[in-house]
Amino acid sequence: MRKYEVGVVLAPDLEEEALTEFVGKINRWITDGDGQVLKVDQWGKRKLAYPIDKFREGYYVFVTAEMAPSAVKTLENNFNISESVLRYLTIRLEE
Amino acid sequence: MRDNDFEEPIDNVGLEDDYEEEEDSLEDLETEELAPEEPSVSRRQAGGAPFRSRAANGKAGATARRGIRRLKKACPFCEEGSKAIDYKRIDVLQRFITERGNIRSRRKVGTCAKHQRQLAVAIKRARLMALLPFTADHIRGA
Repeated sequence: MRKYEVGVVLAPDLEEEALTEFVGKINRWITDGDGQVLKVDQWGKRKLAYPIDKFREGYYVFVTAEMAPSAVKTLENNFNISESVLRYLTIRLEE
Repeated sequence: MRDNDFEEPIDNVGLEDDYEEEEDSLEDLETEELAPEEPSVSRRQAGGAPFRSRAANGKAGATARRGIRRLKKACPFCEEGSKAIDYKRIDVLQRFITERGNIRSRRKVGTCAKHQRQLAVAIKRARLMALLPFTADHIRGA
């Protein structure tokens, strides 16, 4: 089990409901892999430094979690499939 | 093989110490720089490139060019003690990029080698997450 920080930029055109639902999805993907969510930090909508997929804004979410290393790949695959995810970045946290 | 030099490149003859940043693409290379305090040895003895000051070799006199010795700036991160440089803290990171979005040279900022490497990684991550721009075009905006 290692500590990771997962940052995700979501499309800004989702309504609140869809957003919270998606964040829940992320949490579930983590726990499905025997992981544990430690912290969720939602920055909300933010202007992007450059347009992505024609969007100029994005919804930022950062999740700190403890997961198995093998689970990271699965999580990222899910991000790749999802159309609402514009960017993601998974970092291993050192202590 | 030439010793690595800490001096200004040829096309930048000692002006930059006192003049605030012109956009100088050579300076903004996103690479490691050696410690600026290393004295250069021997390479001028062959009578090498012009504009190299003999003051660097400790030879003073009329030929000495002013301003070889850099300010001994302290690394801004070293002072704070060891906290990780967080790519999400763009308020901190902003200081270390130019108006066009390039990463500033360690020579100009005074960071230490270790922190400059971490800084570069953090900036690149921030760029990836669209927290910082990649190019000047991005900054010019809508």
